[in-house]
Amino acid sequence: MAALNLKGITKIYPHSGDQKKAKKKKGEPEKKTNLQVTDQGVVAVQSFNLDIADKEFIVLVGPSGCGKSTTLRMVAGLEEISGGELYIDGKLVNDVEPKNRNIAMVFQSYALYPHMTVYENMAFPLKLRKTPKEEIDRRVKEAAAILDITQYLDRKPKALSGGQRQRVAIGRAIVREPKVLLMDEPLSNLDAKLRNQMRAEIIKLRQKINTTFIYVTHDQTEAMTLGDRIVIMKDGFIQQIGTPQEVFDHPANLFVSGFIGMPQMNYFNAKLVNEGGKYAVSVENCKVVLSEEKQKNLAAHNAAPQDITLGVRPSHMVLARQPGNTLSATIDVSELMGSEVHFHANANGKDVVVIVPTMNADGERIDSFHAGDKLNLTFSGNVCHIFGKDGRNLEF
Amino acid sequence: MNNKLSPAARREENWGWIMVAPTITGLVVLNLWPFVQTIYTAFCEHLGFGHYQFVGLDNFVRMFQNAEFWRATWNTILFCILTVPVGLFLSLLVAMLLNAKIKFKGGFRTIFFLPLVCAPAAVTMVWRFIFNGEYGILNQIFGTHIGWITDPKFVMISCAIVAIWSNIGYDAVLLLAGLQNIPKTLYEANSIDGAGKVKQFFTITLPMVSPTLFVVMIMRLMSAVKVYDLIYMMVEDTNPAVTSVQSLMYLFYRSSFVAGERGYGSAIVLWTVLLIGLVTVIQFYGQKKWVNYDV
Amino acid sequence: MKNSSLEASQKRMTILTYVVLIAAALLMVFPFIWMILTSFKTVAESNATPPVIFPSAFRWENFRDAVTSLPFIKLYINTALMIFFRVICAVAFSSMAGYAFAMLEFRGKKLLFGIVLMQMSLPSQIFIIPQYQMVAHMGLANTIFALVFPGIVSAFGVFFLRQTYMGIPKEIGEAAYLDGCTQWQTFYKVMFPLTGTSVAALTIFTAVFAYSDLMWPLVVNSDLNMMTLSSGLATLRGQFSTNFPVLMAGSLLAMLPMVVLYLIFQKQFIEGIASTGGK
Repeated sequence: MAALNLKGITKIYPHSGDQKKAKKKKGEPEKKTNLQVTDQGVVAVQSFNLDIADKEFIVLVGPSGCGKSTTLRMVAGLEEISGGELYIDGKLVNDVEPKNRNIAMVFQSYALYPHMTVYENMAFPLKLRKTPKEEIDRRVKEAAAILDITQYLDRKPKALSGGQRQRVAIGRAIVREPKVLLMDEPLSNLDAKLRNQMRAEIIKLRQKINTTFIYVTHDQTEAMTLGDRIVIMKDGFIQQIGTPQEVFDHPANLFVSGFIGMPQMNYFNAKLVNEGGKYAVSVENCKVVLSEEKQKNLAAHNAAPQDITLGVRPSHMVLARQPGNTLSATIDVSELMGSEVHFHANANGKDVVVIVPTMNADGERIDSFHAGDKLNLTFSGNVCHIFGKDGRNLEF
Repeated sequence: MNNKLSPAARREENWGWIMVAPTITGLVVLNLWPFVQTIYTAFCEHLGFGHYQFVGLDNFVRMFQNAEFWRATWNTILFCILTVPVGLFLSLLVAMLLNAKIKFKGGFRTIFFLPLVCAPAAVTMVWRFIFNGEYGILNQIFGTHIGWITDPKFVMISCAIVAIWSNIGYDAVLLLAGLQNIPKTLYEANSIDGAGKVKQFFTITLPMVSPTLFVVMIMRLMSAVKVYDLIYMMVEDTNPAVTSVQSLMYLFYRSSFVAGERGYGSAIVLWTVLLIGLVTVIQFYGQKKWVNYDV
Repeated sequence: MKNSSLEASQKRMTILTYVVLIAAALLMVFPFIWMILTSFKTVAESNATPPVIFPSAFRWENFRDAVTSLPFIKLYINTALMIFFRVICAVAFSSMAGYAFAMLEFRGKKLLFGIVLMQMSLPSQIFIIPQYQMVAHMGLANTIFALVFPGIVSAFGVFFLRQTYMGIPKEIGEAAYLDGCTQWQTFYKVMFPLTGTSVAALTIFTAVFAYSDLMWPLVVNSDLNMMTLSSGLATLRGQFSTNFPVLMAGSLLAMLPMVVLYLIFQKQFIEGIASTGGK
């Protein structure tokens, strides 16, 4: 039970240290990142500011090499903090040893001790703290019950499945009743089915134990379903902080808009126009007047008419019956997904994905479209996103 | 780096130093300092009781003018030539036979490996008996009267046979591991192409096992250059044939600890280090040129 | 579709394989069998022409003669103590150093590891004269300590165990650190127990190497009562140069403990020594 304050947290890997350190996550493909390089070294995390409330579930999400794991490891005390201040419950802990920070961490690779049984694994942190034997026993059994691993307590990790090992790793973390529970991609070593199941388990776990969670993942589904707030990072910088709904509805920039949401948002080269005090966007011969809320936001920033990148999510694209004030597109591929249809279409040389319900409001089936058919597309003024030249959302 | 170490990093550093301290202290006292001393001793004459006098290059001059020294150098090289290629060939053969689909694989492996756990001092005893000129079983079987370990013409071959016998199992086990790493699919593809066994050996087995073969060869060369105990046990220094088989390390032992000429002995060791350096050079270039590493 | 000629040739191949293997195996064990047979013969039997294959009776006197001419009990004890201390030192010090070199960051790491590599690349004989002088200077010649002395640290052990520690995921150490372990506890309670197989291999390697070593025990301990099995046998060679049954009995006695251990722990011996291969 703790609030955390991260003030300007920065991580710089000095040049002299080998480059290996910058990509310490195993399993992730090595990818060229655009990390900033200064005289002092490679900046892996830049001025990270975040106030985390007690018992909040925060998810750090971003592509590999974005600095999310580094941030988590700085909170854990596994990485030295190069700059900034880290407070746990108002206490500055930059130089406090991990064991005195009252945090626990679950690793992607589980990092269970192979030579100890499940029970010993979970009892180990308590033994190191010289907890009385009965107390250890009570807490291990309690945690085992929560995680449903009581029947495996005598087994070695080798004899467990991936999902079971993950539970043990979580168990080892929660027996200490930490104020902050850190999780570093805990589900990414599991197969898809097990991952969905464990995700639900983590939500349940959260209801059972009272603690602050910081959860790192590259998977947006996990981020959206687990987080009270999610922090989207790229190249060491925070891109946006907000609730899942906020970042979905109001992405702060092009990167966030593309990173959150599946399938990816559609982008069009468009113009922002102002006609009689009303903002509208125009793509080719389709012009849409923006909603009141967006009018207000744009006006507040004095947005000038300009060339923009217009973003519309596939599920927000609408099929019009007749051409006229619409975008025309040709279907390349049509995928029937049961309750909805995914069209991969070509709109004037641009790939567009459109998701529409199989049956429209009038009970009319629309699965009669085939490759080569023409579509007339439009969208409403409250669900499109307006990004300026620099990629920033003009509403922000 | 001008930034100061954090407390955690300093603790880690202190533990690092503490944990390597016993080893490093030991290595400095037992190896690094003796190494320096040996180099110095090679330029000295031992006056007895650990007293030395600097004599410059005298030991080396004497060494290079000494026929016994050159003979020992030649013996060492000859020992390498006699044992390494034949030993490698036989070991590879055994490894390939063990790699076939056979029963009692473990039993065969155990037998071939056995000489390795027997001290050379012990196993050479029976070989001395087998090779004995008067009563030895070898002469009795072949009806010959050869002094296998007393005749200067044969003594080296006898020692080489014992060396090969001692190491075959060990080398075969290493090579077997190399053979087992060759993907079966390579052979399958090859036999579909219709290649015969012999061709298969040269196109697949040999290239694929060559990294292991190379490692084993270097290891064998290194230990052959340093050979001492086997020859010492086979041929005592009162045996008249000793000069025909005496290796550099044998000569070193006799000079340093029997004759007490430690300066001269140190010079011989340094010469041997030079030969070992030569093997290292072979290793360095061989790795690049000869070995197929894309396994 | 069966190709009978192909099958027949494969069968011939298998038979040939067995024949060659059995012949080779016989050649390999023949010296051992000959040793055992001879150890029970009389001198006359061992020297007879044509050769006598089997002894007429089990003549245990040969073993008695070997034991009375060499203090075998002392040689066993000396060898066992030498091996014991060398193994303990090699495992303890090499584990610590191997862990530090693999897992910890400290200044001078590269330089210090260079010393380890230097020792490994030089022949042990280059150190022998100064090592002997040190032992003699300390007045410790003809002691167990003298036998153990060059094996107190094992550069090879450090190198070998460092490889093992590098194979352990770093996360396990980090988890231990977060769980509250000090560096020493991480090493002792978490990491060291994970290196069992390698420690066993190093133990076997060190033991076999120490047991076989001849030059150092010959040089440093001249008192028959302080010799090892290897160096003791070397003196027996001169004493009974023609009494082969006694020589064979003595050699058998010297070999027996290690061979018995080998036959019990074959798998560990073969795989352990093979895994340390290259030295």
